Amino acid sequence: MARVQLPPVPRPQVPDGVSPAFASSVAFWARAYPRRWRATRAAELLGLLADLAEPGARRLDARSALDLLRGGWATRLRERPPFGPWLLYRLFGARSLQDHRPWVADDVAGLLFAARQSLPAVWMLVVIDLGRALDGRQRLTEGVLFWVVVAAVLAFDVLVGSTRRYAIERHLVVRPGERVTAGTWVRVKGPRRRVTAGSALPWAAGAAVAGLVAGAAAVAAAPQTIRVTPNGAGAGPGFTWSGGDVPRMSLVGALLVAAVAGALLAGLVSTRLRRAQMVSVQPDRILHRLDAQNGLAVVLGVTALGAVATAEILGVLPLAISVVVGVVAAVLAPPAVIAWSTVRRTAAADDAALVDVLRLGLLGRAARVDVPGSMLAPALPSEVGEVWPWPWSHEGSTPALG
Amino acid sequence: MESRLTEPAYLVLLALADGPRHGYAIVQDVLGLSEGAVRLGPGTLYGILDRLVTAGQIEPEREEVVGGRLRRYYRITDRGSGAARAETERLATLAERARTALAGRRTPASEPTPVPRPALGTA
Repeated sequence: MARVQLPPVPRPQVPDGVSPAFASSVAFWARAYPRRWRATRAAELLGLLADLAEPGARRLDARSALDLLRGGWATRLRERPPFGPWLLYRLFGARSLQDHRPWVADDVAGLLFAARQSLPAVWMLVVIDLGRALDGRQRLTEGVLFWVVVAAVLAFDVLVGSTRRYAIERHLVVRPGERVTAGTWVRVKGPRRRVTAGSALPWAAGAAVAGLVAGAAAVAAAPQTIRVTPNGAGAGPGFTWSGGDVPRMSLVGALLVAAVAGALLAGLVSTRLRRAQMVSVQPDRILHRLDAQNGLAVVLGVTALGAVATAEILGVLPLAISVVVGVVAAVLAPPAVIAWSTVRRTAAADDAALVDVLRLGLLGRAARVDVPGSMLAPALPSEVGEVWPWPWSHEGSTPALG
Repeated sequence: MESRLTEPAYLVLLALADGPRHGYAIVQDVLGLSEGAVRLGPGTLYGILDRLVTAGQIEPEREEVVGGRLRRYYRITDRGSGAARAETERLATLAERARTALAGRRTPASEPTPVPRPALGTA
């Protein structure tokens, strides 16, 4: 699947004689306006408000702030798509808003897009839950597992951005024969984006250590473990799971074996990283630091694992998941910490890609040279109004249109 | 038929009538034209500018950066001039009618004493 990188909303330059605090205040209140409006008008708005403000003002006055709120939301309402096509788009993912691509582009780029897209599923769950309640059965929302699954799904979605990527491919990427409009994306070949080792390894090491702590605590304190038994004759096909005694020494032994394996692997990783060159020449690669969204996903994932371990320690869930988490984390935590410690001591922290460090440390192999990959990018302003060529020009560079 | 101009939109068209202006100049001109009665806030101003641009009554003309401040100039189009003229005619006609109506109204001193109506049930 092609990769996507959302274009950031450009922040206007702070004019002469204007306090950066004032510019930040204007940027905050201007968020009432749609993203596309801010992309083209933010600098003009800041200039106007700087002209209107008292000299030396450090924040926007209340009257102007309220006026921006009102004007911003009026703009959002004025430019919203018609209700029927919007409903088809939101509920069924229909390509019903092709005449409103700028609005869809803003919707997809929004921070809460994944949450908005999950609304139909949430409603379905609410209906099912109410049905269960009316039927006298236990409500889904009372179970810890339900919330763990919700947190895990959200974390996965934030981590890989699958909902957003799918939406861009479906709703915004111009198809052959369609006209390129504002908000349209196109498929092009471009450099591979790789995250830097220096920014990603602390998060990886932190997550692995947290998983190890959660797994070890659950193994040490959980009152009962999972026991899966095949259904007996007459009970129908399948298995029944229930709680049983914790084979604690066996589980602690498994964790210790995993920890020893992790320590050996850490030694190997340390030797390989110190001996070999971590930075490679990559003409078709762009390095970037781990962004806040990825960090949030890691926090969500670790929180979900912590919730599972807590549930197992409290006896709400029988011990199972945390054993797997603990063993995997015991193997991965030592090499992750050692890799982070090694990389941060070198000048390569921001010049080495995580993928190269992993390949070198875990497999002992040199970095692969990236080749240009398929990626999605917003159409160039010069392409707006053109009819997108037919498939043979797919994957071509976008200026080739002319 | 185009929808009638609101008073602030009409004042913005009048501010642009004698040449392109940027946002701050429009706010000041509107303040002067309305004798201080209409002080456009930023949200109101850009709402009006967006609607007038969409209606083809004004259009962005050029951009200038003065002291690091971006100033986008807007100019009135023929359609905008027509709308401003039509609104001016409408207001002039209304003012004329108002003058006529007020001139025909008798002063309180010349009005006859009203005759009290009979009490209920006595007629």
